[in-house]
Amino acid sequence: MASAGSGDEKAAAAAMITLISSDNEKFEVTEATATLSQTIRHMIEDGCTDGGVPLPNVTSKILARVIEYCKKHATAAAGEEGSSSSFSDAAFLEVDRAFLEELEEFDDAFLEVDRATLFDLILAANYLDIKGLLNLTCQKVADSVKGKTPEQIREMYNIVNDLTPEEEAEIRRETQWAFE
Amino acid sequence: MAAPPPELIEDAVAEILLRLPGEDPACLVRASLVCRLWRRILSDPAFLRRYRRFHRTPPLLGFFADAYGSDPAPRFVPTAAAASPFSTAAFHSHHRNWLPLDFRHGRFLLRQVLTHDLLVWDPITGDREELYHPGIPYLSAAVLCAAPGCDHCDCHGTSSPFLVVCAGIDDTDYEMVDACVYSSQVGEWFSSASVLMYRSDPFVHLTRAAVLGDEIYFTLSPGDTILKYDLGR
Repeated sequence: MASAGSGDEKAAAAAMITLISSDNEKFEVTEATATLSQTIRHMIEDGCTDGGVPLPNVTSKILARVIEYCKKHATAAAGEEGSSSSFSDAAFLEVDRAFLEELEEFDDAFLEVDRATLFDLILAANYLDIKGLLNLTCQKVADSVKGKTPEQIREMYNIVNDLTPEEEAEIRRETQWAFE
Repeated sequence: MAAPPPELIEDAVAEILLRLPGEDPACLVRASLVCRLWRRILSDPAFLRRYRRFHRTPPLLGFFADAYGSDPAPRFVPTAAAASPFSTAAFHSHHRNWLPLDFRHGRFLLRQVLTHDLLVWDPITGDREELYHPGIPYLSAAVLCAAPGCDHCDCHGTSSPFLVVCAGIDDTDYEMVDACVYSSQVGEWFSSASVLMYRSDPFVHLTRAAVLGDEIYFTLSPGDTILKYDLGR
């Protein structure tokens, strides 16, 4: 409470947050990168980030990827803000378009991971409440489920079928049109 | 070999299922057969409301068409390549001699070709409610949800309240247009308005209704008259 209000701008530019993975690895990130996570943003607002933020649900391997995503997207957001005043409208649009294209390429490359990593990223994005990352990863899984049978989906994602054969037969009978 | 994917918590599964394409309803049904958790999420009304909000404009899967002639019945005409839960044959056998008048808020309004009785039917739940004849020679009718504060993202069935509004030309005075309203909560028709139209042509036609908020619009043809029926008044 006492420190709030004094030298805010300087603090925001230099503020670094330490994130601690489940396997006790420490990651130093800027506040701009960290606050892409709503969960961490709230922690910062509540002033509970001194001494680092422990993330017991996220391994160092996954946290490194999550930070890579946040850094890229935080830079893009900052670039957009900065460019709006120093470019003419046309130039701004050009820069904006280039940013978006670059970001899209980054996202595509970012998703080139195995299914286990993809699921770990979803769990981390959900826990850390990072909207963009959650949307990106969940859409990837949703796209992979399209056109697949229940058996194929279970096999792809290692899901145990806990429906009884009778229940399954009943549902199939009721919704036969979906399996033709 | 890569490690098997970790088990996802319910929130994460819901985030994935939320992003399944609405254009292919069969995809949702197949996903509901993966396991109990997926099934529970996909059949949860709160999830379905969220799904509709997430996808905003619902996809057009097809439309119901009049089919007059010797064997009148509504016909479903698919406009998407995706599999549809509506079987043309099923409609046909259940609704012989019924023709579609209107469709809104998950409910279908049909008219019996001979008696002109009305039927409200939900093609998803299969609910049906036959309404007796409104008592006026109606030419057009609209069905709409009557649940207060409803966002119409999840209305269906005949157990939740709905209204049917009919409009037609008075058979004793061709210059009068009559309207009446059926409330499913009361289970009765109310004759509610008559308007003098000053026309010379008795052979008029009322087009299918358009609903905007509490207002229902019918257009009279030939001519360029629009009738507004305000439910709020």
